[in-house]
Amino acid sequence: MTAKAPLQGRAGTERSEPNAPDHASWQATALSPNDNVAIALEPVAAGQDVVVSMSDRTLTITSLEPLGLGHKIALVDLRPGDALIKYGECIGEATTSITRGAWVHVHNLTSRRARQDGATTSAFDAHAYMRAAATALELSIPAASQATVAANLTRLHALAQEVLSFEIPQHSSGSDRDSQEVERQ
Amino acid sequence: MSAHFEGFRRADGSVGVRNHVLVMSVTGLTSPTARRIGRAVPGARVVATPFGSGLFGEDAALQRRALAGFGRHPNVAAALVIGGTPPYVREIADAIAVSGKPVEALVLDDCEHDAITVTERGTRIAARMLREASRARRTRVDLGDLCIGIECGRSDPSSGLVANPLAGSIVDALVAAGGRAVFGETIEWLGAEHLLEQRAVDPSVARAIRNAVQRRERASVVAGMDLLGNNPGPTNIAAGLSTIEEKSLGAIAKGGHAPIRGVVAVAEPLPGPGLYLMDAPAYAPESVGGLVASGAQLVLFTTGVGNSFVSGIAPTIKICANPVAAGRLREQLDFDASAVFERKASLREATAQLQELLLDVASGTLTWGEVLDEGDDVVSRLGPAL
Repeated sequence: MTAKAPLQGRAGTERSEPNAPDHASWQATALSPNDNVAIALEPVAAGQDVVVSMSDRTLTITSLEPLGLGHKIALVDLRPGDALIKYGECIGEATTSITRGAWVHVHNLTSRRARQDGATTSAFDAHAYMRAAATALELSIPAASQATVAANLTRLHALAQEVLSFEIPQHSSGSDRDSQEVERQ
Repeated sequence: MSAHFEGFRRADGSVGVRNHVLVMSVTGLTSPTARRIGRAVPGARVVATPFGSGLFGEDAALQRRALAGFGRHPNVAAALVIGGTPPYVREIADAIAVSGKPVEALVLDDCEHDAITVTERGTRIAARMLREASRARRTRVDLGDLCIGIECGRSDPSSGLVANPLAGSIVDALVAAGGRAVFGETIEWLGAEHLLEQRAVDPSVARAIRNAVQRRERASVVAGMDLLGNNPGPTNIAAGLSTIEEKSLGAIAKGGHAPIRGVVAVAEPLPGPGLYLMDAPAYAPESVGGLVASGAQLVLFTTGVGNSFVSGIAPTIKICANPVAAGRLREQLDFDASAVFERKASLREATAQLQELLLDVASGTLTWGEVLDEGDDVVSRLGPAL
């Protein structure tokens, strides 16, 4: 190290690599060739031609809407249910038809994970279970308590599902967190 | 690239990048007193928990593990442990003393439950510890002696594109040099867990990653929560992040490309060199607290729109690639990577400059968080107390 490191670190203020990119030449980027959205690297106006730098090519898209810095623009036409691809991976699915050049955000894109109606929970009607159980046990559950009881039943059901689906490790391994927990006791 | 820094070699062989005296209250009753001692001895760092004897099960184990971890931390030269009753205080003091550093315990029961007596005795002990600690000198040590925690907070799309890959490049260099790195925020593996599983060193680690994500995903479903608005939160959404998958895919870039050697619990020490994951909450104070309690001497903290939280024990280097935030938060952000986002500099060039800053901070240069004394070190709570 010949010089003291800058107190306020800042990338690329003094030196520039021979192949340093020309910053004026593109306004959006997508990291994977499979991406169907690109990230705006600066604010974009409606009607603006946006040059998109992708890892293997450059393309130009006319923006249909204004875009804030960091927001996403559709590179292709999409139908409801289509996967949105960024970093070469699925970031969710389209909830409406999306036209090439449109702004993609929470109004037309939704997560596929941690969904209330998703595969992580099975259909369980807590109120039906509560009525059946109350009848069988000859219990009377006050109307004011029914919502709480149903909520507790839903939690218990989910917990039971988790217990039943738990994969018991076949043999102890030093790098397995669950077996370490046991060893620590 | 110089891969050395100046650090404090401790009795147990670990290396501190700071030389703190810790005044640590391990029970809520004594925390105001610990803070009073901290004001009386301004050079000391205070850790103060609000909790106490009602904790049980995993919560009780986590409190002990994390508080002992703060005390044993390589950046801590000596620790004064303050609490209500002797067995608990003694247990934590003994766990810290294993490291060979000076530890003293102060208990309400031995001070006739008089906070003023605790203050008087504690102030004298902390003052003596601080003077003695100041005799330590830095020596030249290898980059590989570092353990860094990696955190992202108030992320935006520039985080996943530039700031997190930049932190990831530092992790790769550190792991190659024989060092340790750890990141947590389990909910921000959701949607990217398959990529982490592929990097697991063996199937049991891959299974631990998958189980950790499933537990959090189920917890959010069972609680009836919609992750949208929570994670990504309102600030993330305004900045352009739309789903947890999108946030996660950007977040895991902060862990670079190294193999994942294991999944540890919150505040659990890393078993060896290399990259580890911590199954932990995502909120910055809880997440950083767990990373530091596990032994991280430094934290690399990436942000999109800005985040002022830092550890008090481990210098926390703030990295930002959003040009608007970087222009605004001059006294919060330690490394401005916006030139990469603006296509004026390459990631490789920025990595070299960030590594230089990392070694400089490890050798004693203050971060903005240290200058402004923003630091705090807290322990997560998991469930109900008695």
